[in-house]
Amino acid sequence: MSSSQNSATNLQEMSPITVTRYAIINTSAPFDRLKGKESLDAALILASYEMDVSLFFIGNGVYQTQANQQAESIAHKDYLATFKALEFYDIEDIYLCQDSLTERGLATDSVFDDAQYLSAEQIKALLPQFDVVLTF
Amino acid sequence: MSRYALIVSTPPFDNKTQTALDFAKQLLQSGHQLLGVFFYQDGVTNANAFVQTPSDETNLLHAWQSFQQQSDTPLHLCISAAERRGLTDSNEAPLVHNISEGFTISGLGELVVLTSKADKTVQL
Amino acid sequence: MSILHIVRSNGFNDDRLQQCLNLLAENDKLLLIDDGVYNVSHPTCASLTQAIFAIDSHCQARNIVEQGNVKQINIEEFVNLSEHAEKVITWQ
Repeated sequence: MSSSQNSATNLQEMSPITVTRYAIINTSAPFDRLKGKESLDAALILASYEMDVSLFFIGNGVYQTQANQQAESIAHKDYLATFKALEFYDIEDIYLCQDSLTERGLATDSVFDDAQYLSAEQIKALLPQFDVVLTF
Repeated sequence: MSRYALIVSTPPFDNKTQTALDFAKQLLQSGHQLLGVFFYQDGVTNANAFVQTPSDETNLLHAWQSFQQQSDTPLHLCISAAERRGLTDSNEAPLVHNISEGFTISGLGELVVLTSKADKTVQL
Repeated sequence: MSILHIVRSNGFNDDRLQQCLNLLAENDKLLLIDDGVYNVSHPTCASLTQAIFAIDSHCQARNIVEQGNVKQINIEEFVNLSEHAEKVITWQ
């Protein structure tokens, strides 16, 4: 662990203008291997280093955003509960693909209080503003 | 010349990982700088010293190790993703240290460092 | 500047190709690698106006022949495409 901690210290010493804008695009349903969990882990660490992180949920990723899921009924840890912590990490830009919700017969409703619902065309128009785009 | 960060997410038995290694090698041949490779998700299993590849097949572990030796490119292993997939740096029974030489034990903080310093991040 | 989108799975297998195409802007480029090269003959690729590339060795491995609107390139040209793109998105 020592090497990562050293590097992390160096990063914090760098000037704040090096903040990078990240888009994390979730395209997988909640229990699709560990994709959603490991995406969220990455997003939280990026944000804890004061990077600018936006979350997108498109395709099957919109299933992650649905309320009242009971992961414990299949002996799975409820990592989706961690979504509640996003605001404490200053992750405030959360975008759901309206087209993907509609296609899957899901209502425009989610666990996020202030998510923005965008068409694929609107999401496409946002992508150029990010420095790094990661998909999970 | 650009500075790159490469994220590898696929296991050693998936030919996609060969693509990631080919890309990494070509970056250097084309005169770019590769700040580091970050192994995440199933990609961490590339560091498993206990993976045995049949002798008539491509041994990706050896290929990553020789790439590391020749180029001095850091191969960072996300330890939390690695531990849940059976990798450990512990020798406390029943564990046996099985992280291969050439890999650096790191955390997600290293992903932040690499991708924020790089001009280009490529996820393969 | 444009985005280089990479698709590495077969569009008959999952919806990564479709997700990519939904967000592919007019000046963006599409690169097919690994099993993604099967998409050279996927119906949704035939009508694209954007530049489409596929890795030559990945095509040869699968006996995928040249398609009119897909340019086959080698790994060196893949690196060049990534360098000249504003950023790279892999639909993994």
